[in-house]
Amino acid sequence: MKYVDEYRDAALVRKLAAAIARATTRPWTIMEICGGQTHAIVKFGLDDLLPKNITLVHGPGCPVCVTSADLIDQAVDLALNHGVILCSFGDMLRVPGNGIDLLTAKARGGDVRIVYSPLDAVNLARDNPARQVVFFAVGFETTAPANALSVQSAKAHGVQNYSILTSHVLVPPAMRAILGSPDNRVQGFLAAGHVCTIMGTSEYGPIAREYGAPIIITGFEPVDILEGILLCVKQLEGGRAEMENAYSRAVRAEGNQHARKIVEDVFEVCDRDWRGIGVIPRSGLAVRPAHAAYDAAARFPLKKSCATCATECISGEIMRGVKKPHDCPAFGTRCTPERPLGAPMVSSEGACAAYYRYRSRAVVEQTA
Amino acid sequence: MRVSFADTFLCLFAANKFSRLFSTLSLSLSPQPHPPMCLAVPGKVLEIVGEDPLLRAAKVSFAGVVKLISLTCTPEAKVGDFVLVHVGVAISVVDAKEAAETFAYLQQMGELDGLEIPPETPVGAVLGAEALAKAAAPNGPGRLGASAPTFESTPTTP
Repeated sequence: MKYVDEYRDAALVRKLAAAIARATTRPWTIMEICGGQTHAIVKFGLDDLLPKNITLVHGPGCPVCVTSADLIDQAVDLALNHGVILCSFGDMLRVPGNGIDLLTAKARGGDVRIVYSPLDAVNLARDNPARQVVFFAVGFETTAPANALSVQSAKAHGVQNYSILTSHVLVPPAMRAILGSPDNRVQGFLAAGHVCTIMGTSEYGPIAREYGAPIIITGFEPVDILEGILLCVKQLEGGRAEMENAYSRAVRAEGNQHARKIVEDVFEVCDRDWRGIGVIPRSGLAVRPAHAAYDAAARFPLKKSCATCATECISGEIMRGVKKPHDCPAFGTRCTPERPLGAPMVSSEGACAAYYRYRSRAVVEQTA
Repeated sequence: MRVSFADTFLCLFAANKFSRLFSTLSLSLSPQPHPPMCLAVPGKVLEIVGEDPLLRAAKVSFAGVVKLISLTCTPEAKVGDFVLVHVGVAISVVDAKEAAETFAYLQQMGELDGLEIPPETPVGAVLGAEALAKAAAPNGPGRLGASAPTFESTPTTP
């Protein structure tokens, strides 16, 4: 077992698709939360294997997509006007803020660098003691331990020129916001497996019961995703709304206690502005005052702009599952990965990028 | 690959610290330099480096590509285990027993018996729901929709 190939087994995928078709008698709309799952679904054509009356809509689980334009402006400001080395995951560089994106800031002389891990950014700070190094810490619960660990590691090694610009978001408040929205069409969820790897499963049972929507904790390979859909359809057809764990090889009920302790130590829950969605109360993580020395927002005088540029990007509606990428009039014409109007077209987890990469022909045929 | 082999070897010789050596190696060879954010990739623990629980790290192989990965969040990981790695940190040890049980359960799921599509049927991204229905229910092609399709009959090629 290598835990990848086995879960791409074509025969098993066919069996599961047939079982889903047999279990389905009515139309159902299911949302996968995580952008990684969106890409797997579109890449492997899993939605084409499903009966026509199952609609998959794509959730907000793309941290790059929900990072507010304001924070991107602050990162650009740091790179251009404060002389820092700004480190970021690669996805973040092409996302436009209210003004320019980080790649343009780099072209204008800002020291913007791509790292694989926040721990690499700490090493960079150690190697450049005369420079300030800021890591653009975006992510969901999955990424929080690594970002928190970078702060702990910097503290432990006495690296004082390191700080993080935090844009952390949490999944359960977003699920509540989607289910509680008046135009909600989501009837069941595939919850993001790796978020649950960290945080455990306890938060999802109450949401499922409160809103009457089954929540299946699901992995990322084709067999995982179809198993999640099958369990979700069975609950919907049976009139049940519970939390089920279909990713038990990686998710324990209590989550990862070591990781949660590290996150607890460094971060505290805060309100967060989600791009395209708005402020969701208690839906983000901010650096605790005890670690304020490693918080870029406290270390640098950053401007808060309240201006939002008018854009025809409909990312908010896409991430709430109200619309699909090809419902956008700009899709593939005025908005492409090379010249994106919004973040979902940029990120390797964005729904629009997935449709553009794997579905552009199908979309053309559909609209023709 | 963004860096030539000559560069890689030069970097390897130039790197004087073990950790740097590994980050150089992995940066030049990593198949996914900018992985999707919530993606965690399973890799096999080859060797554990450092005994201090806060600094424990491991050489982890991702189908041959070796990276130095922090084990701070998974101190229970042993050599030979598969760990799920996200942005340089192992976030979970894959539970081999759970995986085997789920897999066996899926393989043997009674309700899936007789549902398999004959192998000669075209599969892949182009296989639509209609094709599935045709393949599995020979007397009811394209009946997927409001009414439940009958899958009880033995599958044959349409």
